[in-house]
Amino acid sequence: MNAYLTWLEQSVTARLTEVAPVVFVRAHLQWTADAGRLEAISEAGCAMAGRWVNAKPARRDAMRGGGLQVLLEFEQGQTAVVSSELALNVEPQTQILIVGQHGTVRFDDFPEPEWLAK
Amino acid sequence: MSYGVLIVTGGMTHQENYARGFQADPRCRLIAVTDERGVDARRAQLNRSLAAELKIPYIEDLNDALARPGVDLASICTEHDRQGRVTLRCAEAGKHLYMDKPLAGSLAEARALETVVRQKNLRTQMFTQVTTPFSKRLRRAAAPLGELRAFHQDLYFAKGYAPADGLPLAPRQEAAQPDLFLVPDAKREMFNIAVYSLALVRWLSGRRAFLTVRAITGNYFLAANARRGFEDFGVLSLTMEGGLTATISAGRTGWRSHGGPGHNLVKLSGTKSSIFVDAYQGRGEVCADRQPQWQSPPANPADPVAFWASSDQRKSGGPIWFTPPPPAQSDQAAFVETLERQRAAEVTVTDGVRVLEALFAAYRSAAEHRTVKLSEV
Repeated sequence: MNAYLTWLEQSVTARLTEVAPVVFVRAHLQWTADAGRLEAISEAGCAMAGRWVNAKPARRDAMRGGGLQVLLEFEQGQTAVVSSELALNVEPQTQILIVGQHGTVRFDDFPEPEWLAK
Repeated sequence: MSYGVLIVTGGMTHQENYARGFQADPRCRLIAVTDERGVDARRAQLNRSLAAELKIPYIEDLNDALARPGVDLASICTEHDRQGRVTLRCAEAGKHLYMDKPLAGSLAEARALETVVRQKNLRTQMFTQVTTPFSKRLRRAAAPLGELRAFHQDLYFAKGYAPADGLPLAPRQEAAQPDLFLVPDAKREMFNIAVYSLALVRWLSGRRAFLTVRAITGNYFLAANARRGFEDFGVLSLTMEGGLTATISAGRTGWRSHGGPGHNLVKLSGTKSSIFVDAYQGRGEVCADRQPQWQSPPANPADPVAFWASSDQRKSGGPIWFTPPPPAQSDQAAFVETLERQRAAEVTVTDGVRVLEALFAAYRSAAEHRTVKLSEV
């Protein structure tokens, strides 16, 4: 997962100057059929969202249903929803939507399972 | 049968579309535009203008208009701080109700309306997006997913001018019980946009009840909203009956935040599988030499047809989308259908009240920075 996560973060980060500052991040991280891995993916996704909005989380609310959903509010009022979801009968996939004050970045991807395993 | 339609409140509201939807329906005849007596001069002028455009009279007093013979239903699209009492008056007069969303600016008025509608056995429909081809596609897509476990939607309107240097970022202090939602230069955008998502998840899930809401509102884009104290963005996280969860983000994100009308992205997760759907996946795209908004790279004599990566020839800008309106039945025609067939609409006054409860719970949550139970509102 680490190799893919690094590539994903770098690829998206490279485009953020066009829309920055970032005010909202939506991340659907559907990378595993193993429920035991959802927490770790969620943690990694929340950390990545924090780096994209360039702020520390002030509040965090989590709920389960079809995976793990985390709602984050950051210190300067930015927000994020990070969903770590089970890939049941679908190929692993990523959907990212980043909303900045000057536009949006959308990134959809279907990562190679071998890459996610690294 | 021909249905007489009273148009309640006119121009610079969604009534511009609703009234024309009814006018285009051969089963309907428009009676007049009307409103409460004593509306302000701007509103009165906008009402008169729409009446003139529709070539029907303007009746200044709602009570006089409701007393006219031949009025079967009222299409109501009034500013939300007035809409509850106006709709209640139409219901008390025994008219079927086609209503703008959200239903009202007050839960007490909305609940009173629900009671009168039940007592008088009226047909009702709140305008939403559930009769659109996109929503119908979602319902078809949801069927093979098993029991729905999670619904996520990002729904934005790519309109509005953001200041060049952006609004200063700061946590927004929300009002626990807002009472004003629309002025000429600003709307409360969570109220006006998240309502579609709330109605959609309720419809898709077979009217499962909302149980809890956690919400955060923001002022990210629009200076007028910030001045008025209206949010331009909202994020909601909800639990619903039967273990269903929902997350929604909704806002007005600026003209160039999307190639079409605005992001409208839905992810549905069920017990068997999941699906991600972009409402504008079905669209047209024009890519042409004559489009000024994108450019070919400068010619490189060393690699004139861009064979090799090392010559680094890249296009700039992008193509234009087009999204023609679908040849689908209008929401107004769907309501007339419910009258003809004597059946309930897809989104009735009861659905509208439940959605409004979720919205008011969301404001309280945003104001108090905590999860709010629906039973608290």
